[in-house]
Amino acid sequence: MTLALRVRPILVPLGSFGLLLLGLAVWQLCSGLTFVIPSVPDTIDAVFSSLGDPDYLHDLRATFTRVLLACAIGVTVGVILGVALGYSPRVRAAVEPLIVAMNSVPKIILYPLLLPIFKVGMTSQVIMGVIHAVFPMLIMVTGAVAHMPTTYRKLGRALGASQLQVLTRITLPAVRRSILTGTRLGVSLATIGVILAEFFTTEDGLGRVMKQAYQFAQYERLMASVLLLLLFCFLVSFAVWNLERRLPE
Amino acid sequence: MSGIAIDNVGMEFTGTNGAPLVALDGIEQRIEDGSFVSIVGPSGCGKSTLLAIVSGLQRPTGGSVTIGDRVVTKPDPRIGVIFQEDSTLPWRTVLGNVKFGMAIAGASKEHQEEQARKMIELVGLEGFEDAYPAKLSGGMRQRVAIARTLALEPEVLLMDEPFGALDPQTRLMIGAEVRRIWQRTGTTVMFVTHDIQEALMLSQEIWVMSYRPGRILDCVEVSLPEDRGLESVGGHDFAELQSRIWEHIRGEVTRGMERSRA
Amino acid sequence: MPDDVIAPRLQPAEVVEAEAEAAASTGEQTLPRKEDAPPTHGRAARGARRRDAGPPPALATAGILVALLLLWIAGSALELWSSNVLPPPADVGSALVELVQTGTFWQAVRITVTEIVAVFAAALVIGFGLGMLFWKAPYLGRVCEPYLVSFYAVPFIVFYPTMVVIIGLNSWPIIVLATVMATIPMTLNTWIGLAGVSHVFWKLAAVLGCGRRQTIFRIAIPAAAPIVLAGVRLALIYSLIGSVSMEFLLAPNGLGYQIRYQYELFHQNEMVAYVLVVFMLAGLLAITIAAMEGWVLGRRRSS
Repeated sequence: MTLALRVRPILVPLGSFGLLLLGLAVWQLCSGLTFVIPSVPDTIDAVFSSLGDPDYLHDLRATFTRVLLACAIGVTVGVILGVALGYSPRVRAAVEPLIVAMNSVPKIILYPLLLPIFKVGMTSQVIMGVIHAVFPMLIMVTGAVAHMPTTYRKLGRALGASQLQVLTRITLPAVRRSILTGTRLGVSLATIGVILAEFFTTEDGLGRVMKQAYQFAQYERLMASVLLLLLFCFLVSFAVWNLERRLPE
Repeated sequence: MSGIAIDNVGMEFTGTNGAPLVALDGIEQRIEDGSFVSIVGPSGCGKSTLLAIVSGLQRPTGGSVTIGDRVVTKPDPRIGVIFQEDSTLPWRTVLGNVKFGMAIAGASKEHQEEQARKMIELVGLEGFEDAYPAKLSGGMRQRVAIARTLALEPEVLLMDEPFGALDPQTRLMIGAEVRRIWQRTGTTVMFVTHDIQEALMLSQEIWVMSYRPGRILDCVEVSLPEDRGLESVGGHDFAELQSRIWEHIRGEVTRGMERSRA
Repeated sequence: MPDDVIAPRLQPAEVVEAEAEAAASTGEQTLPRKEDAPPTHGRAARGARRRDAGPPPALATAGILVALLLLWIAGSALELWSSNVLPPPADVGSALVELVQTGTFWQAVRITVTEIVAVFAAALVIGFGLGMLFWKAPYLGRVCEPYLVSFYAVPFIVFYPTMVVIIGLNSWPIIVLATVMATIPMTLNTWIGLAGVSHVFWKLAAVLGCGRRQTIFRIAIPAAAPIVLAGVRLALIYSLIGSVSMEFLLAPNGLGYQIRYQYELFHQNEMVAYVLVVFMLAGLLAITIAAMEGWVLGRRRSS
């Protein structure tokens, strides 16, 4: 059964927007039921007041910086290792089960092992973000390179291209979709990694703010921070998704 | 076993720009019970659409099709269909695949087993009962599809370019197989192909179809001997029939190319 | 003219990733065969396959693990790092042996495993149901699609503190949130899997006279199985990751909690022991998934 969309196309984004409104309505309703959930207007207030607070902005910037660093490093490492593994089937066959197993481990539990080495601070949190972000990229790029049509490689040989040229002109463009998707996943995972690390060791950053808000029952601030975080992840994901869609494939 | 009556069948679609697209125009034909008819024509002429209508997968916008004494309104196991694409179920063995149609129809386990093994033997796949389709070649998979369809003892057999995805050598071999099976079972066969030689090797009658809107330009009776082997291909009769059909098609192909360029 | 099949326009990364993994996880590499199918059973066939592939990859993987262990032993002995960073394996081993004899350990294991099972079961049922729903009701699917797809990006875990305040400090907020996290890939994969079933299978169902239920259960679902199973695998992974991560942050008990607790008590040996236990659990799950996929999908793969 192939199922067609039997309504006018404009009704789809309208419907999605309607769903959003419905969600907000439910939120507002729930906030009436318990004091723990702040109402929508209160939360929006908190968002703006937080954004006006220089201390908050400092925390925001700290988290942002870590996330971007973690993402950049994670993406780069993931691509490099992914291409390397993609080229060597023997190594890949041996290492792949380990990578898959690592992918299913909650990586935050490694944080206490990192701390004695790097001490509390930017480095350890960024590394945590990197560890979170690198795996999806690694898996995707490895798979993409490994399944690249052999005609591509033959083309490179036929044209007499050097190793570097093959890499930059054939391999990387061929797997750019995987790289983009890996980046998209990498950003959100880097965010999770950094935030979780900040939850654990409270120095500065959005994670610390949230933990503090939780401990001091400042629920508006907590929700506002959650919202900002979700918005950031959503927007980055959406932007990269659009890039992916524009790829001619 | 039944004959097929195609009564003034027409098919009109709305094209992508909203304008009506006439795929078939007033097809009026008869296929006698037990005969083997091929339809040839250029790509896009509507022969697959005609077959879809005869099978019940597509409702015509005009006219009707009658098989035996029943008007065709929807697909039915009594109307056997072999598709061009591989339709074997990858999660079932060859035996499991051949039994599948019967299992859906609710046949008894004993009947399924017996009939399936008979069909597997008929299509020449003995020894492969427990193999999975992933391990079979394209030609073998089509034979599985044929076995599965024939296991239901359909009244007619409709084949839509069934060997289109196979290489030329396999096509010749499996074509000969299909003819042998037809001679053994006597099922009415409607066979769609774009390969004139194939049609000549297999059928008793060939309908030549025009480019859109699809009409039957000519019904060619294939006067080649019953047991035509590969030697016929070079023969005089064969060449005559082939050029007659090719003349029609050449014109249609040119028309088609001009149309799509326009 | 065929209708458009409605499916999420985005192929979730994980679907592609899981397909690649699935393709690699059989481990066997064989040369393509050009002639018609040779005998598919028998020692001769198996032997031929193995000879083509070289030593089984599982051996190489085990080899890597052994090498890592040796590195750990050597590094600790040579004091390449202080025992604060990573205690020697002997100490961790004996700590583990002692832990296994305590009730607290098994209680933690039981709690974590219960959470994982609960989340996984819920995600399977809800995810599959929603996936089918979105497939059968394309408008609903399209409307929800942007949210579903973006939720991959959203760290649901940030809702955890709020959930704890609402529900309480026990396993329930963990189960609820982790279920949400695990349901999304299951839903998406079920939807994509069903929508991606080859057109020829629908035609086949029609010409064989299949009823509605027969079409769905005997053709559509088996045909969609590879992609749906990738969703199952992701659901299981998120069950584990979600549960343990949340326990680690804030929880009365569980393996994640124990890791944090031991860390705060400066019990390095016990902490690393618990970390190893979580790794073993993850490995166990990975093996289970691989076995399941191999069993369901193995026969479909061309050798």
